[in-house]
Amino acid sequence: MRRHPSPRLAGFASVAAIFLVGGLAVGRPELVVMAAPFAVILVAGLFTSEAPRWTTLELGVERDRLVEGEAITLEVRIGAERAVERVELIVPIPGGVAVEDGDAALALHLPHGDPRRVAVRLRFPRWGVFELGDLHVRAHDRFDLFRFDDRLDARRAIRVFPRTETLRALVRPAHAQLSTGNQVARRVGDGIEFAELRPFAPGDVVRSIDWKTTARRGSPWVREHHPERNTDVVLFLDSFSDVWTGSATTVERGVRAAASLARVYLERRDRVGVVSFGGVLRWLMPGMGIRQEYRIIEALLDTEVAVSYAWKAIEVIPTRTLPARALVFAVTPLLDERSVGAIFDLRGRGFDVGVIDVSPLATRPERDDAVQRLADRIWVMEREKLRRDLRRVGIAVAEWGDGEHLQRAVWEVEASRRSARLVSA
Amino acid sequence: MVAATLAIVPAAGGGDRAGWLWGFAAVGLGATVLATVRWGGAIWWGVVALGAEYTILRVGRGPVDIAAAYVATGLFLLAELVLWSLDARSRVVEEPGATRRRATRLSVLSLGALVLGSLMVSAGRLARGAGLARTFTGVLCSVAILAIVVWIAPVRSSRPRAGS
Repeated sequence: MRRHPSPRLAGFASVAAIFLVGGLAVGRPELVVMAAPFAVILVAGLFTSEAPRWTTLELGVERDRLVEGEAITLEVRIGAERAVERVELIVPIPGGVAVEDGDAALALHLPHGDPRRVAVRLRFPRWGVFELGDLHVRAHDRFDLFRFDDRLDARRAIRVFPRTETLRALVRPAHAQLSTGNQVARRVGDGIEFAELRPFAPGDVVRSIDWKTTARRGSPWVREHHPERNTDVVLFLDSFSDVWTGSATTVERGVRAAASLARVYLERRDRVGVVSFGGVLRWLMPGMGIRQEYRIIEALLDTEVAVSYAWKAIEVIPTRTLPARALVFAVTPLLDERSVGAIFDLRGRGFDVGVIDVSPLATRPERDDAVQRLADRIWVMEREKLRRDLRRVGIAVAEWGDGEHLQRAVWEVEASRRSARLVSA
Repeated sequence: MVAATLAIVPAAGGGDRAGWLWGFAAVGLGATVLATVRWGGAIWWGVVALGAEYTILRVGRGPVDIAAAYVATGLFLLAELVLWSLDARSRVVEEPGATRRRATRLSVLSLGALVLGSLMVSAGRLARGAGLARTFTGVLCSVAILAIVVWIAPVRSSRPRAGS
């Protein structure tokens, strides 16, 4: 605890000294009378000033993991051996967090033997990792001549997970892997989904004979099926640029989309990995299960826009992060040449690529100037041309506007892939 | 309002010293306004200027003035109210109980200042023959206060400790 004099101490002492010395100099008792209140309080304060001893000083956090948009309560419990005239509490509020109820900076009286509780309700409107700082406590003595500063190490990370959207259908990868899953593979094998009929061949099991066809054709025919397999999906999140789109930024929306897609793919027993491609490159190897979901969300929480002018291509991405025959699902505002170039490169190397264009067009202001309107139209056309170029090389693209449900964009990507015969079914 | 009263009332009855009195009144009021709007430290200059104004009025004019107790209380109240207004401007929100408590405390201290001032004025009027003793007491008090000023000038702080 650190003790320091208040402005009142120096002021009272100076005024009392000036009046007393002045009284002696001019020989007028009125000056002594004027000095008296200041001098008496000064002396009384100096004799009675004492640092408070806390019996309780805690900061309780309701929980440290929540979904964006939710609120939690911080509770400060403070008590002292002796009454403290005035205690100021500065509750550590991370930036970007709204105080919904209570005061983050509160002055209160602390009576003897009666711990006080101060609750502050915080709402977290955005995903991310929010660090609580130290709780600052300032106690004033009875005459406010000295102040005692203390702090409680309340540093703690509050993890706010992105809000995910419910998706009923997903983009089906063109290639399946070997493990069992929910994706109907192109090849034939043991499965439920009917594939084709063919003449019986030595080695076929009798159970696979289709008796109706055999009776009709006069020779044995067997029924073949498509096996259900899992797939590899790599979510490619572009974090080179961040643009406000009306309700959130492109990166905020991109992270929400990636979290939503990851959750649903993992529920289908697919292997999902993440590559955050931006000023700072982050990746997570494809994996399965609930643990992988948490790993992905933790990785997404660290997503931030780090300004970089270094040219980055897909060579910087570790090879194991992009397994062969994986579906690469890019979530990007298509604003940075490096990410666009990487998407073309991925397709050029034979990856199955789909793109959700997190559109930054929603918040374009109304232009009064003809030149600005023209520039605006050129920009829109350039984006349209870019999407067309992507489709031309076999990449399905869907524009995802602010306020639209993610499912609509996912369906559009899937429909685009069906028309281009990129899907297995 | 307190500052205006303390500034105008002595200056209005100044007679031949009106120029000096109005000058100190202006300094006192100006410092008070400066303290409330921008620089809190100016309040002490205001208090000293208003006290000096009253002293100029009283120099060479008979025995102790009974109004000195009211002026002393006014100056104390003025300083406290300005400091309160500065505290109220900080981002720290006072709970209703704390505000009520501070108002009560200020009332009690002001009343105490008035009683103390009245007692001192009365004592000053009674003890006419003890000039040397009064001077000695005054010197002692002045030295004590100056010692306090010298003592608090460097910021004395105990060593900080981590956490609670």
